[in-house]
Amino acid sequence: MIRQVGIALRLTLIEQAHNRFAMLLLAVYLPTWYGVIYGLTDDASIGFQLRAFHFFVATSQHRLGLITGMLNATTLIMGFVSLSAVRRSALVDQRLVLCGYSRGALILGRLVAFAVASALLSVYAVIVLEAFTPTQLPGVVVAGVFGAVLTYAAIGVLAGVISRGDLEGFFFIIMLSLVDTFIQNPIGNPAANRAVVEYFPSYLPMQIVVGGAIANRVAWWQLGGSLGWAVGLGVLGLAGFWQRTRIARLAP
Amino acid sequence: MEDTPLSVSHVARAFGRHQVLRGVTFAARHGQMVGIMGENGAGKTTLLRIMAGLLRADRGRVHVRGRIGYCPQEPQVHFGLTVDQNLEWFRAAYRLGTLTRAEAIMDLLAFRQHRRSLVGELSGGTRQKLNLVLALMHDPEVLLLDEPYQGFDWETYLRFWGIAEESRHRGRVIVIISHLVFERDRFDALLWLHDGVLSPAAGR
Repeated sequence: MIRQVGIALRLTLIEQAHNRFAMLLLAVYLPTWYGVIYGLTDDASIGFQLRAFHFFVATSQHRLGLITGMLNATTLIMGFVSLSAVRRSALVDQRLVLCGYSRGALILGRLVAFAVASALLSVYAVIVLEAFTPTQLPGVVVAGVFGAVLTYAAIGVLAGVISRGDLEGFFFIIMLSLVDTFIQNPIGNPAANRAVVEYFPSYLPMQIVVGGAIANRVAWWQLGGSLGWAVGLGVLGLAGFWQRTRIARLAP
Repeated sequence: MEDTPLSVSHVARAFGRHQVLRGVTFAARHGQMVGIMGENGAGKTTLLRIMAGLLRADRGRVHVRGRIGYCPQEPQVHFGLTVDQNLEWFRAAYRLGTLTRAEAIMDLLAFRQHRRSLVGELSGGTRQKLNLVLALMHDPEVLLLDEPYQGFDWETYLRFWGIAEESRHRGRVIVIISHLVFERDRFDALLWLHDGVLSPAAGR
């Protein structure tokens, strides 16, 4: 069982690394997107409400725009990666279970692979961000991005399991990520300071990232809450995964 | 029962209101090659999926003695991995110590040179070869093959029959589903699936 988990983890990661479109998004889209945001925003001051500490932190539109753009880009990429991985492997996963692969080992290996990919993506996104704007607590920023990315990995799995076609799944993830990250950003969105934003998956990651990048503060309970989103959605995705790899009769 | 590793009794299956299988019954002895023919949409793949254990029958029973080797019609493989990495997945699934048989079949089908190639970059025929190897690499007692020579050139088609004959001589049961059967003499029994039931395919 443990050996099968290891094989599923390793081969899932290798397959993700062979996803050329995802690699292209990482290599080109992410830094280009940072550059575009940097070019579109200016040094004008803007306040961001850190709710855990009950105060507004003043920063530049450059920095806040880059942080929002980073969350938007990374959640989109990871949602796309997990959705496409789940959809492409749907039939072969079922075949593997039929051939005797432990269903639990297969699903665990795949989910851990998504978590590892999320961590690598988070570290990469913050390293590239540092080239545009320095952060005060890079480790906290990585943790915040990781919470958002892992949540969208789970959303991608869920969308991959329940959507009928690739297009519906991709559209859902793009729209959710756009709306979710846009409403957290007070640039051009006065509603960012309203309580309603707390009910969106990027709320806690945005709070953690801004706290770590700009205010030199961290409320670790927020990371727990952020991972709670990922775990909650991950459990739903796991249930869908479990259902999808069901076979009528286990192979002898 | 001792001599029939595969028996199917009164299997029925509907999708919504569409009754695809109405009561399919047949059995295969050791070393028997059975062909199941039928028009497009007759329910051949549904029947094979039920025999393989992928799909539940609404009624009836399937009894299989021994391991199953299932080759789906479309290659169900990891397109983002190499041939070797696909073999590794299935080696773990079958819990095989070595890849000796897989390598022997790859040699017979002449595609060992593609072991390090990404499956997504291979031709349709070569993907089908891999699809077949994944079904046969654990030397199963019962082979369920859905259009297994689809996309093969003539030479590969003949090599496929060489592998099938060799398996049959060792007592394996082979069920081949196809909408076209060129060489009837190769089969011990040829059945026709029509209107949800099987009947001998003599003269068709």
